[in-house]
This record gives sequence, structure tokens and C-alpha cells, in this order.
Amino acid sequence: MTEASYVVAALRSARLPARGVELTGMIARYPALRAAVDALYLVPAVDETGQIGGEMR
Amino acid sequence: MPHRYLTLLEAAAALRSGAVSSVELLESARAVADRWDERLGIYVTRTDDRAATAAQRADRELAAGHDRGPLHGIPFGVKDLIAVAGVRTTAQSLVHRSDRIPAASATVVDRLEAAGAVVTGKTTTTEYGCGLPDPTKPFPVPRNPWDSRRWAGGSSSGTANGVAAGAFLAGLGTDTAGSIRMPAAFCGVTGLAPTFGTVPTTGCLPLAPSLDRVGPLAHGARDCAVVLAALTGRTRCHAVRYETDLTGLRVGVVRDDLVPGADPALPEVFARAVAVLGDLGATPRDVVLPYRAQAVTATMVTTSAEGLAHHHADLVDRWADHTPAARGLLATGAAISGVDYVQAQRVRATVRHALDDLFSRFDVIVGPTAAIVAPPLDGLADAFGHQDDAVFGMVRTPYWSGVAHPVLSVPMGRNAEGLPFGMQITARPFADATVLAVGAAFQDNTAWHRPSRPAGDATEGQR
Repeated sequence: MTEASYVVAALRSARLPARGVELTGMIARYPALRAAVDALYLVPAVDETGQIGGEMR
Repeated sequence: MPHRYLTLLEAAAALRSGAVSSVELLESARAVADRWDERLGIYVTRTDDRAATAAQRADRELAAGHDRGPLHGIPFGVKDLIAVAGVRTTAQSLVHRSDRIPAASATVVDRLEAAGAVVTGKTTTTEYGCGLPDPTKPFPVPRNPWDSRRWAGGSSSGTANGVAAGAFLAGLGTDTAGSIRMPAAFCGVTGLAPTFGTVPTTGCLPLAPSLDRVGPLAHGARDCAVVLAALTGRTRCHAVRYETDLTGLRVGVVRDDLVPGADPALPEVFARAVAVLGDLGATPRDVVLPYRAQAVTATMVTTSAEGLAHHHADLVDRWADHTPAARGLLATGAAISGVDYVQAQRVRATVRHALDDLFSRFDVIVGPTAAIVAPPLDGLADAFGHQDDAVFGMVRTPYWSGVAHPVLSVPMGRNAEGLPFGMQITARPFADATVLAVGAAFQDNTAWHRPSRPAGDATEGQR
């Protein structure tokens, strides 16, 4: 699935009728959003002993 | 001194000395609004009759010896996301403007009015607290009192520019990702995002309930302290011990805000502000905030996902009635998975934990509220109508939004064009009194927070 088709599918699934330039903008912004969100998975978790360092996944 | 140049506490003292009445304070505030509201976009709705009744009652009570405390008889603005009984809450949205007239006030408004405050009206914001000014919609565009071609900041826009202009002495804002602190910085007033959860949000339109805070904007930290006491209903817990001597105070200084694109005056202005704290005895030491980029992402993921969840039905039914900027921010939530949202919450927990360690070594952390001054109104949106990342990426508030810590923004200086900068002062959760005391000490030795110039004077000759 391309990034464009993912954004279109996500909006359609949420029944949000973005189209035209607005939709183009959302697609254009998505790669940066995805990269920032992916970086969240690199942050270590607080483990069961209350220390930072556990794997998040 | 004209009433519009008084701080809240100075006005409170003048009320008790008999130098001024609440009705006179209100008349002065109304005169400012009559002159400047249309140009600056302070109010969505004025409540003149309600305010007059409240001011008259305040004067009668004081004359009879019934003193409700420092807010008694003080004119206040209330952001138009916060319910005032019998007054429409528009949330600056076409979707809300015609039919949302609450029967009851928000808890914070009830508490302010019980403390004697005089509500003068509902102040401008951005749609749901997350859009941008949109001149195509039938709402005022909130402009900066120091240059009306520029934005007041958002989303507590009208509360901030109203305090700066003298339309009221203090007001209520809400802060999800910086909506109290950013306009406070851009308008040159003081704003407090209290410790998350200490001020009730009942009766306030949510944006992201796990981030939303309600707090005061006013001229000074001491003014904010007395408002906070009323808002929490726990005066004793939030009693502030003011110290003019900051000896022993360990201050972490965030200097990595001084990035390319920052206003050229910022490094010197911030260095001077830090030096003031040092002159008072504090020990400043540079610090790097942990997980900086990820904490900001976690805040924005949370805002979009929770915001979409709350406003989804209205967006689906009336998409075209929303502003492009609100649509863009909220629709981002559709591209965030449930797993991403949960991951953002886990990151927030990690950041909180890392900050616990940081605050074992520092009592407060300071940094610029934004690396820029108020941006021009025509420079807020990108080519698609969304918030322009190049502008909003220069605002340093979202880092602290995802954690519970109290954050005070105080005016700390001006750039070459006379536009204000703000400095954030943060402490560990529930140490609101600490940030207020440090802010007060700073303001006892600076004058940036003083109500000093008539609204619009800075641009009077430029239009």
C-alpha cells in the first residue's frame, strides 16, 4: 500500500471527506508524521522495576 | 494611574482603599473594549449587562464589609471554550455557534464568580482550540496588541490580547499543547498551565482530555497565583511563599532553543533573563531535555487522536463548516493507529520518569516559550491551509504538555521591533507555587510584565 492510498483509506474509514488540495496536503505531510511516530518506538520503556531501559517492542 | 495600567493585585488594593470601585474598573475595561475590540478581535461575545450587575453587587458587598478576596470586583475574560451559564459557547466554530447555550457554568467559572470576579465576556480562540484564524468565517480574528498585522497566538488568543490591551485584568485560558503559554508570550503577559488535573475542566469543551488544562492569564505571576487559588478551591495548598532571594535555587537552562530560524534577539534576551535569576542568587546550569523530539510527537499524536475522537461526529456531518486548519489537525488522528496512540502514552510515561530524575538535580527548568515572536497573520498556514510546521515548530510548549508539570510563561524581553518574548519556568508536578514564586521574583526585578502602553500604539502609524 502506498502512503497516498493509506491516507485515503484511513480518511475513508473514518468517513472524513477530504479531497482536492486538502487531501494532497494530508498525503504530503504523512511521511514526516509516519517517521516521527516510528521514532516513538525507539524510546525505551519504563520497566516493571520503574527504570527506563526496557524494550518497547 | 489609569485603571488600565493596574495589575490585578494593584486593582484589588485600590478597591479596598476606596480609590476605585468595581463599576469604575468595569467602565474602564469597557472603554478599552469599545475602542480596541474590533481591531484586535478580543471578544466573541461581550456580556455587558451581566458584568454590570456583577460589578454593582461587588461594590455593594465591599461597602457592607463582605470581602470575597482578591478577585472581588475584578473584570475577567473567559475563553470561548469554557461555559458561562446563559451565554453561547461558540468554540469559534460554525458548528457550535448557534445552539450551544449552556444552562450551567463551568466549574472554574462558578469558582471565579464565587470569588467575586466580574465576567466581561467570552474571548476569541481558534476553532475547538486547534485551528487557525480564518477571516472567511464570521468570527473575529485575534490580532497582536503590539502589531495588529501579527497573530495574538492561540488558542487562548482573546484572553491574552485582552489582558495586554486592558480589556480586563485577568482571564481564563485552556492549554492542550501550549494554548495559554504561547499567546501569553506573544502578547507580553503572564500565563500559567497548572499541574495537570489540579484545575477542573468540567464545562470546558475538550480537545484532548488527557492533556487539557485550564489556567489563568494576567499581567504578573502574583496575579496568576491568586486566580489559581480560586480555580483550585484549595487556597492553602497553593499558597505561594515569595522569596526575593533565590539563593540555592537550582535552575536548569534549556539553550538548544536557540536554533536557526530563531529571532536574532532571542539569545541575548534569554541570557539577560537567566542572568536576572543568577543575580538573585540562583545557580543556572545548562540542561538538555530528555527525549525532546519524541515527547513533542507524543503530544501531537495524543492531541490529534483524542481530538478526532471527540469531534468526529461533527466532522463527519459538517466537514465543510470547519476551518481547514482544524480539519487538518483532527483528520491527522485518522492516520494514527491505536497502537501508535498507545505507544505515545508509553513515551509520555518514559518522559515523565526521565524528568523525575532531572528534577532531582534541578528545582526549576527555564527556556524560551517560543524561539520566535508573534508571527504575521498571513504566515500561519502552509499551502494546504494547515498549521505551518516551520512556524509552529518554533514554539516550545508541546514538550511540557504531555507531562503533568506546571509551566509558567513570563514576559522576558522584546526583539528589535518591540515584540515580546516569553520564558517558560517549569517545576515538578504540584510545585505550581514554586514556578509562581520564581516568576514573581523575576518580575520584581524586571518590568516586561507591566501594563505599560496603550493597545495598538506600536502600529498606530503603520496602518
